[in-house]
Order: sequence, then structure tokens, then C-alpha cells
Amino acid sequence: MTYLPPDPRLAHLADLLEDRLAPAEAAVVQQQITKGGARARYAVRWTKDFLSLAGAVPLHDPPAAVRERILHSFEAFRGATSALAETSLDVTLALLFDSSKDLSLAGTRSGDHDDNVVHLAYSSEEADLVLDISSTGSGTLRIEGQVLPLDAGAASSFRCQLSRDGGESRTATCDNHGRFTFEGAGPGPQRLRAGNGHLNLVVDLDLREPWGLPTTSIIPSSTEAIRGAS
Amino acid sequence: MTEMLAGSDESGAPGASTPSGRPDGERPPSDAQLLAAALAGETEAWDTLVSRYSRLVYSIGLREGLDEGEAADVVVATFLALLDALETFEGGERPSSWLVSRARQEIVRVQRGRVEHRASAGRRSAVSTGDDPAASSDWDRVTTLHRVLAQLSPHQRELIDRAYLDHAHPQVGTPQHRPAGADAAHDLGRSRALDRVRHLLAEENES
Repeated sequence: MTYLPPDPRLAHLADLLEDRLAPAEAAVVQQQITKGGARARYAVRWTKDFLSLAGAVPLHDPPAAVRERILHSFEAFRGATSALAETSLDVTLALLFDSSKDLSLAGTRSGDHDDNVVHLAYSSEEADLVLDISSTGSGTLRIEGQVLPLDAGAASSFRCQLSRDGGESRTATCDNHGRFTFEGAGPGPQRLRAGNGHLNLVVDLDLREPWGLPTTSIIPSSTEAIRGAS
Repeated sequence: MTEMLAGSDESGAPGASTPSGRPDGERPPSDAQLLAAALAGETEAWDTLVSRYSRLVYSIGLREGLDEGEAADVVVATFLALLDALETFEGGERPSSWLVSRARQEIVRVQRGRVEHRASAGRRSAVSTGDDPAASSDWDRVTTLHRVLAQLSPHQRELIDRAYLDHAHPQVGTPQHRPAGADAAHDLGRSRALDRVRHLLAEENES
């Protein structure tokens, strides 16, 4: 005579609940549930809950390119992070354009002026860098940038670091187009470094906000509030 | 027929003296351990973390109505955000919860982009706000389940995946009616894996 355990196995409960048992098997499991009392009923409830959760998000594999892209970014992170502090890799950038000064250094006038955004453009022999610095209206700034290396395909290898003198720093990874964002940047002088392990683009920024205004106030003119300098 | 049900008691219900369904092998590294190793530059740790949660993040995107390309973008954006947060990740925070929360933000961003695009084309479309308390609770439970699944041995994880989660390589629903006892060993392994999940979920609820 075969030993019949007092409680049904969870796999059999799951099969029963999913209607995957032959009638004779289902009858045995039902018998176990009846005889099992509170323990068996608890197991049934748990199995129902598990099946519901498991079915909530049917899993699908992302395309292989997704994983490759993420792993590539990690390798870039490894290489760039260690090299970001290496000042011998620093490249001097020249400021080409500053919309807060209304007139570009190249002599052309800013086109569509937006009081809430300052546009900055820098150049070097190895790579260019553009920054859009905007007020969030809540006392912080958003820095959106794009690294434009000579080899456009290498843009995603850059990693950016925004840091205060001897203080906290934050990092951002560039996307395939070299774009990056720092949200909630505070005021004051900060250094932005964008490195790929071989060179570091370095820019000093003086971020200013009219602190003391209510956070809901609209800043009258960011040309007074935000200033970038090379 | 009863051979299928024969064997030791695998119930593990409350009151059982010891948790049944013991792991068959060492417990895989925790998410926190993987994060620390990734921060130290270990590619394998990062790869493991990506393997552990990229399917979930991708599948959440699909479930929320994104197309495959959009869902793939969400996965990349979510893990890049984690990379950016590595150095400042707080010890008390659970990486799995962080990833799912961030993925939902990215999904909302994609949906909003769609709405703006459709609005410009004169069409109307809904976007989830991502802050529905009921939905958040559901996501928390789903996230907890997947965090627990990450603690299973590879063999047990595969059993659970193939039986209940993996819709790319489904065993779910097949065969409808197996011959009695035909795969008793598989049933036993699946039961042990489920017992292990139940035990780990109970541990999560206690913590």
C-alpha cells in the first residue's frame, strides 16, 4: 500500500487550481484537502495567491541587444569612473556660446530666448559639449547635456560627474547619443567632468538660484540666476 | 495513480516544525552583495543583477502596454539609472524595489511621450499616473515574489520559471492531463521549490 501524505503537495494544488489534473488525480487531491483541515486550506489559499502573483507579470526575455547595451555601459562605467579623477587626461574646453549673455561669443545672436533655460556650448579638438541648464522652479536646477566626440559611436562610453569642491559628487551615464541629465543640482560652483577612460572633458559651472523665494515662484530671469563659465 | 502523491510531507504549512523545501545548494548572493561587488567593478556581479531583474522590468513594460521597443528602452534606462545610483545607493533600500519603482517612472515617461505625440496629432490617450495606491500594493507584492525567486537555487528557479512564469518557453498548461506518476520526480522538485518560495515569503513578511 502506498503512503498518502496528509497534506497535498503545493505542486499538485497548483495543478488542481489550474485544472491540469486528470479527474482521478484531482479527486485524490480534493480528498487530501478535505482531510487536511486548516493546514490544507491554508496551503490552498497560499497557492491561489502565488498563482495570481506569478500570473500578474508573465515573463518575457528582452532582446539580447538590451543586455549587451547594459553590460557595455557597465564596462564604460568601470573604465571611466577610475579615470575621471585622473587629471592628466583633462582636456581644456573653449566656451563657444552662452545664451545667458544673449550674444554668442562667436558673434551670432541667440535665436529663441527662453528665460528658464541657459544654453552653453563648449568645444575642443577631441570632443564638444553642450549643456542646457534650467530651473526646476523648486530651488534646484536641471542640467541636460550631450557629449559630442569626433567618433559619434563612442558617445555612450562617456560617464559624467558633477561635484563640488572637495564635497559630494553625482554621476550620470551617457546614452547612445552621449546625452546625460543631472536632476536637482544645487547652487554654487560645481565642476562637471565627462570622461571615457581616455580623456576627461572638464567644465566649471557657477550655478545660482534666487534662494529665499517661495519654491512656487516663477524665477523672473534665469539670465541673472544661472551663469556658466569655462 | 497514488504514486504521484507518494512521498514525504512537503506541506510546510504553519505549525510545521521546520521549513520544508530546503535549497539544493548554496543560497545565491543577495542583491545587496551584488550591488557592492558591482560598485567594486566586478562585471559578473552586474551581469547577475541584470539577469535577475531585466526580464521582470521588460515584462512590466509590456504588461503596461508598451511595445517591445519601448519596453526595451525602459530596461536600458532603468539599469543605467541604477548604474548612476550605485555610489549613493542606501543600504536600507532594496535594489529590486528600487528597480521596479524606477521602471514604473520610465514607463510613465514613455506613456506621457506617447500622449504628447498623439495630442499633437489630435488624438486622445490615457496615461497611468504610476501612483495608484492599489496598483502600488500589487507591484510591491510582485516585486517581493521576484526578490524571493532570486534567492532560489538555479535549479529551483528554473522549475518555477518554466512552470509558472516563463511565457517565452512555456510549460504552463502542458500537458493537460499527464499519465499518473509519469513525472513524479518533477512534481516533487516543483513542490519543494514552491515550499521554498513559501518559506522565503514568510521570512520576508516577518522582516
